[in-house]
Amino acid sequence: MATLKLINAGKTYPNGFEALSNINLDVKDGEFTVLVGPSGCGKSTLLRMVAGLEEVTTGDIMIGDRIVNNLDPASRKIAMVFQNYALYPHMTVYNNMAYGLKNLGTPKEEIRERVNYAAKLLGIEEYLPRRPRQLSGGQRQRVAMGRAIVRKPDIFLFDEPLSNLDAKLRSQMRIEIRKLQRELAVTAMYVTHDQVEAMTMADTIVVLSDGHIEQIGTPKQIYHHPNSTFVAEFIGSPPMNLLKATHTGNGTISLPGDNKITVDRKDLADGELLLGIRPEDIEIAAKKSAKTLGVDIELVEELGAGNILHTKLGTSPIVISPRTGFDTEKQQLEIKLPDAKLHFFASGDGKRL
Amino acid sequence: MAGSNRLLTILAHAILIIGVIVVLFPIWVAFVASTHPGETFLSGELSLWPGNQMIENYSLILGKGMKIASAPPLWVMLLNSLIMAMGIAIGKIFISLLSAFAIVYFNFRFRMTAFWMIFITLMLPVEVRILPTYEVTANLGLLNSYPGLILPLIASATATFLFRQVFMTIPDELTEASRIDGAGPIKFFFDILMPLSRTNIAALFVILFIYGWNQYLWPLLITTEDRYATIVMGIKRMVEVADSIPQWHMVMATAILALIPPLFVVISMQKLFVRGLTETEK
Ligand SMILES: Nc1ncnc2c1ncn2[C@@H]1O[C@H](COP(=O)(O)OP(=O)(O)OP(=O)(O)O)[C@@H](O)[C@H]1O
Ligand SMILES: [Mg+2]
Repeated sequence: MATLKLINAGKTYPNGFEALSNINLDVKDGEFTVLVGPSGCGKSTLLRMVAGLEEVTTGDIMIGDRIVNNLDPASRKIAMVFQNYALYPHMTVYNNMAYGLKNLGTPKEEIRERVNYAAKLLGIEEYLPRRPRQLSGGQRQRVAMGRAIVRKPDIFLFDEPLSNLDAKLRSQMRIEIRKLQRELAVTAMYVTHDQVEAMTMADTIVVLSDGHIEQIGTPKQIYHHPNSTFVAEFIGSPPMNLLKATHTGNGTISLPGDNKITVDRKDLADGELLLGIRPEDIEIAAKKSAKTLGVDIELVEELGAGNILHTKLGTSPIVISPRTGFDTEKQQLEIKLPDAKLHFFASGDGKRL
Repeated sequence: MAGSNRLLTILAHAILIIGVIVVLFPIWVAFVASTHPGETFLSGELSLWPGNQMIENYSLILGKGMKIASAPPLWVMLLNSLIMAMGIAIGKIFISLLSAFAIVYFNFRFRMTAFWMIFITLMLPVEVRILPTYEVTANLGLLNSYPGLILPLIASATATFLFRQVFMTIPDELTEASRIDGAGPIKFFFDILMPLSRTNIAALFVILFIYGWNQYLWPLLITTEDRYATIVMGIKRMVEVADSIPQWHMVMATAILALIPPLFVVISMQKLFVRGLTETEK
């Protein structure tokens, strides 16, 4: 149990590649932080720096009130769960979990107690004498978790621990990991590129892009107030619609296809901008009026519980996931963009306006 | 389909059986010869069935040896061969495990240079460097000694190279997990690397044991005293006795006995050996 702090942390690999720069992050005790971002943005690098597997080239990492930059992984009181589990193939499940404690010189009796406790917690008691080879993916995953738990770490580190599991098991393990982390009240840092995992598990989401932090916030903040088009498009499925628009003054926005709407945003500067709206925030209107926009339906994706409509406003594609039913026979649809659900971004750097 | 498959099976087995016969027949003849009195072999009418002299022949050769061939008792030569072969196999494996460990897991200056220098010595087997090696061994006063028999043959580029490849197939995450688990380099080597290379070590042990057992030129050069003679040298000496007819029954008995230790090593390690050569999953 401890806090984790990154102060201006950066990483330049020996080949000169700057993978991370200027990372400032404050993780509270017992908090579950999820790092998300597209492939190659530096999530694993950041996690491995906290673990002590990669050197910190600039800045500091603090666990509790110790600066750990130069500590080796074993003395940082962290535990890590790897994507491919990284269980020792030649050791039994019991020994896999006990190995770290043995190296610390923990008494045998205590090792047994802790391993049995963790095994019970995870429901893997009957596999203790087996080798990892004789376990399914989900069971291996649990063993990897067990190996982390027995060490009673200050911080849990997870690097995409669920990405090798099938969808059903993944959603089950997601809940289990979260429950376990609450129960043990251990600070956790979790890397994923799956935004559903990020949204459902996190206390705090850190969105990374190209080696820098794009936004830090609770899942709600990230979802409802994305700081940039990058975050807006990355979180949410289907992603947020972004329309090229022009502010012509007084809150009047002209949209593709000669459409116009008026919004209550007098602060916007005149000129080009991007208007964002989430597919589920778009309302379908019963009949045409001055406040509605006409769109052409191009494709309907049937999801069972609902639909996803791929439509066009003028020449710009708009995706809608309607909350209400609609007439599937129609080729055209009248939609309404609720004022409160609109997001505006600068057309240049994509920052929120 | 089924018919042709069956034909294929029969054909395959027939070929295999013929192969086995071709290999085993000379050994059988050697065994038969070793159980007859010496004259039988020379008369050219060797039967294909064992004679009644087995116990006499074997106990003579094992206990007393052949005086005229100035060969020491066979058990001495067997023991010498065993010590040499074991020494070479274990020494080679130990040294190459360590050097592969250094090359793969440690970042030091001239690491790749070291690797390539080791690799280049592949081109210099014992026979090529035999004169300088002899010189060095003699200067160190190792003629007629077990270290003299073993040490010069220990350095092994092949084994180093093989272990390097094996270590490189071990996932990095495993190394990292063990670092987090607090295993230092020595612990990592013994707790993780060695067990994971177990089958490769076994396979290499078999190959190297036989390599050591079959050494001829080097022991011939380096030993002049009978008590350091190895079995392979012994056979050769028995065949080339001056002014006398070779005692073929004794030679054959020696050959049969010389086969047993390598055979034992192969059989006892067969399972690991095969896995070591074929297994890819780590
Ligand atoms: N050892 C290394 N040397 C040089 N560059 C590296 C090294 N390891 C990673 N990188 C680079 O650093 C960047 C970040 O890598 P990292 O593994 O942290 O990405 P990631 O966000 O975890 O991606 P993914 O989701 O695919 O796992 C990548 O562009 C990668 O090519
Ligand atoms: Mg990664």
